[in-house]
Amino acid sequence: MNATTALLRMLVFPGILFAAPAAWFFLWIERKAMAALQQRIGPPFMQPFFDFVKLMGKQVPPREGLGGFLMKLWPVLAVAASAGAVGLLPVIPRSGGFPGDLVLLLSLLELPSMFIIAAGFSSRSLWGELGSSREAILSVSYNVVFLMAIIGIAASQHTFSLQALAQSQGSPLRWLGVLAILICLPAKLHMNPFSVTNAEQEIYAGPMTEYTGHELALWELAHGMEWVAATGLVATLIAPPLANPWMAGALFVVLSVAVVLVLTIVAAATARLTIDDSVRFFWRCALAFAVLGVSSVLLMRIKL
Amino acid sequence: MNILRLLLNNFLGGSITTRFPNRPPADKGFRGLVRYDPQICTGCGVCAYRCSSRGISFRSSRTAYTWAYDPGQCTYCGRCVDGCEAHAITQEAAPPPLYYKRDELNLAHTTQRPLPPPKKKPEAAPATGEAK
Repeated sequence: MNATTALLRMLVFPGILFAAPAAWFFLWIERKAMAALQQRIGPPFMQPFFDFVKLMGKQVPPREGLGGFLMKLWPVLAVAASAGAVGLLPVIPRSGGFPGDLVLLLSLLELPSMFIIAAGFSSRSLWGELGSSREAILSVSYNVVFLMAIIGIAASQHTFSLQALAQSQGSPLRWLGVLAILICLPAKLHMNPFSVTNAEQEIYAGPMTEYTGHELALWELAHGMEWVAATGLVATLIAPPLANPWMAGALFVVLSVAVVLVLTIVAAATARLTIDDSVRFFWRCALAFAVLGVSSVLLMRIKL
Repeated sequence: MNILRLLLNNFLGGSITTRFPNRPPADKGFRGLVRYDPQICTGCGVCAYRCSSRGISFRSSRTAYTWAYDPGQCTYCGRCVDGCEAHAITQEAAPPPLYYKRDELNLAHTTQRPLPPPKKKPEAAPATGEAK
């Protein structure tokens, strides 16, 4: 993949031009499915887009100094990181990629979380700082499971290339890894039962409390793109290899939507755990999956 | 697993909410738009005094008073209705209609105060002394 292809993938397909509508679509699916499970009508199809446009038109209060500059910077970086993560996904077979792009995807998936933490502290709001510290604690917990699961999958297939992973056949270890990733996704996407970061009944919007206008719109967009990237990663791992690019693209979208629905059902069926319980849950899971990951790495070494 | 059964029933049972502007029928005690009857109003201005959201304004002079209502400011709390001893203010038992222009539902009514009876001019005091 040369620089031009990389830029095209990040900015056009499956980057921002695909990721932005997909983000709004996924946000709508999540809200609509949640409403259906709660006997509500839910928002119209275009509502996430309308919300974005409305927020873009709102005035932002003037913020002076470095803190104000940083508060403007974090959402832009979060959108860029999320778009980059979506851009790396092998939506269409043989669309490029490079050895080790899985590592880059993981780091890009992690960046929005770090920017959220930084944004909460930059805002100097009590609720923002509380939400950020919760996000930081949760991030340290679930990422152990998340990374171990990815390492386990990659090691079992002897590759860190997304394209190669998408083309390879599934294995029991891989399915275990996918299960571990699915357990982590609610925490990554701030959904129940791991939604302590933005627990609106306790700390308003958490790190986003002081945000409004186009900055908040960018955060929403970044959050939607995180949805696309995270569910897309799962879809990449569970999709059977198909030669037809259209079929592969359609299957990718269908599987991503299925993952969104599963996460929504889990969120609707569970209540919010406290930060202590969330951390305890992830560290207990981490033990099992860490052993799994490390053992698979050892297995790969022996085979080599 | 009860929660999953509940979610399934919710999903199959359909929605109990409606899409705007469709609204469920209002109950008997529903507090909607404030209505004003200038024929009964005594012009005391208590409604404006009791309105904490400044939905009702009352301007008075010696010859007339103007009662004005802005539904955009109104919180439909009903304190004006409770405070009106003449019962000149009531509330509709229906949600307010949709409106697309600002201040479209605003009301204002000016009532002339009844003229006070003409004062009798005091009779001229009887002359006490002769003019010099």
